[in-house]
Amino acid sequence: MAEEFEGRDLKGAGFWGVDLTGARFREANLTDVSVSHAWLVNVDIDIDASSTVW
Amino acid sequence: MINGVDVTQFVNERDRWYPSRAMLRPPDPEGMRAAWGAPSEAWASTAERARALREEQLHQSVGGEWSFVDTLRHLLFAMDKWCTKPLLGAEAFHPWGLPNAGSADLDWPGIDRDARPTLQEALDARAGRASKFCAFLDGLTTDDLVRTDEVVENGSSPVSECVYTVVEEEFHHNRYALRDLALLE
Repeated sequence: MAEEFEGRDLKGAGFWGVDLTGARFREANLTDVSVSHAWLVNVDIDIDASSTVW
Repeated sequence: MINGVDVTQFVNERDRWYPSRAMLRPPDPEGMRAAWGAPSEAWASTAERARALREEQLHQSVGGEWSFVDTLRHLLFAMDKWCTKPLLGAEAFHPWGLPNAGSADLDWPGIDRDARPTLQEALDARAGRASKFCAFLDGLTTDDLVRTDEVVENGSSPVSECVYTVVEEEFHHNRYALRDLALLE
């Protein structure tokens, strides 16, 4: 079974070369998150998109 | 979908790197040969732009990222990791290859951690590798794509994934290099 990260403090964590296929983010604080060299395929995002830079 | 809105067309129309960005994972060898063309030409232009800077600027980190020459060294490493070694059967990496930080402590055969090549030396090394990659692509067939080879750190990987990774590394790091060159100029 996939690992659950509920309530964990992952501020500043780095995800490099990881497979997050099917991962679910709920009530996650993604402030100042930076994503590059990533694949967003069939992704459904429900967010407060204020100040988002694409 | 963002908040129920399909933003694909909106983003693509405003993306400086579209359609190149969408061509990085073609399904067949012909597409792979075509996919290599765009980042290859982009890098030739980027290298010309870098030549206008002083050598010491090309070894300068920008915003905590790799210097321009370090980026070239990382691409040399990526080429060896995903092509020269698994696909072409080389025993060791080019000594100037620079692994990503998260993998720096692994035992990479042939890597010289104290190397500090000049811009021209790094470009020449990359040109040699690119030439071999092109020759490999020229002979690539559909049957080859499903064959698997052993990639250091990543394990058994299909040939198609090896090709994709080489092309994607070239594409994305060119964008990062251009971002940092703009700050150095």
